Amino acid sequence: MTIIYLVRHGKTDLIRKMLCGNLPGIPLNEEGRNQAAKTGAYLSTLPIKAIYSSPIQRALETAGIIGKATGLEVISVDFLREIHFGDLQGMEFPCINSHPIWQRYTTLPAYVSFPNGESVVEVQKRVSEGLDWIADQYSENDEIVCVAHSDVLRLAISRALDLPLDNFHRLSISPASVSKLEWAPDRKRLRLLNFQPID
Amino acid sequence: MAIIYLVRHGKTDFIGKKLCGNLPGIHLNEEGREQAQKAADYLSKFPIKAIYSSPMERACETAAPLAKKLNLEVITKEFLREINFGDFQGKGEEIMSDPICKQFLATPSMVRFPNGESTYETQQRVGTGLDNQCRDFTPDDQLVFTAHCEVLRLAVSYALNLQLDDFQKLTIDPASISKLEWSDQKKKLLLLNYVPK
Repeated sequence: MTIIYLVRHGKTDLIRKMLCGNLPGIPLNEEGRNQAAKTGAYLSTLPIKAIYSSPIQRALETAGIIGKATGLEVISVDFLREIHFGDLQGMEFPCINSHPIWQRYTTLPAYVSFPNGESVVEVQKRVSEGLDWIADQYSENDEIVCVAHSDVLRLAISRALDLPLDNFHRLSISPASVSKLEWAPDRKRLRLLNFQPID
Repeated sequence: MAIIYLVRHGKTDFIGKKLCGNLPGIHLNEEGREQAQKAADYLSKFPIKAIYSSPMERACETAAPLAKKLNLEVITKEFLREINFGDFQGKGEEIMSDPICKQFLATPSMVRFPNGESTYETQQRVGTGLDNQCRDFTPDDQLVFTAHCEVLRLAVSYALNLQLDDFQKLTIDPASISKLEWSDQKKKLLLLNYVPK
């Protein structure tokens, strides 16, 4: 059993303005960097063995700040990328709210497949297999950090809980928040959800 | 609709030793009282409108420091009681090999404790209890409910639409705080199992 801390990237100027997905060139803003520093300080009190990150800039920056605090290198892995929203990637809020696929995604997402992008089921499979691969490399009770994005992290947690996929939006993952999972092939547990180290 | 904080009681001398359930006379120990104070320090930062508690001593004692800080009454509610373990209540390790206890850990949706409640009944009473309580409030109102491990995990499962057999995949530690947005139309888990240090 591996302990996995799931961390969402800190704030950017485009949160809630644009569906950023895997677009390049979106950095953290100042608030986001401060959030990442607080999350880094929190994680530096724990015996973290390794830090993995989505290769997208805002995640890598968050992971870099945590890496500095914990004295660890960041390992970039593709399976932590955000959902590939396909044709919807880069669309702006609130415009996107009237898009039929977005409406379905925000209400009954289980069978949504983004045109020219990924399906929800595919994303859950790639992130779950990725976490299996990580857990397989470490010893019992080793503690690992994974830095990624809101939806991919909620899908990982839904897998741990076996939560029916239409309900994954009921889990909140705030910027720079920390969630904690026990992850083994035969036993998965949610030990903490959406903790934001603030002080 | 309301924002609700679900708080498990602090430590007692019997956690992990005896299935306390709704036995009377189980009090917080010193560590539990310190935990309750820390939970109160954390929660008193928020504009809490009301504090509800399971009628069991350890839950009321956990709510007390917060009530004192905020100058609120603790209102006891039957729907926040721990699951009624029936014949197993008050028993220790000797029951762990009992088929019903094993089933409670494997497929809890199928379990009814002899002379007690079923997992499903308990979930319904706490879920509908919270539904009814939250209907009287506006979306910005914040409420605190202090109760017990199983009943709180069942409340969170109810909010998530988690399958009943999976409810033990959620962790609720002593004196932990979980936060939800709760209305008939929308339920969302905002925080799970945060233990203030």
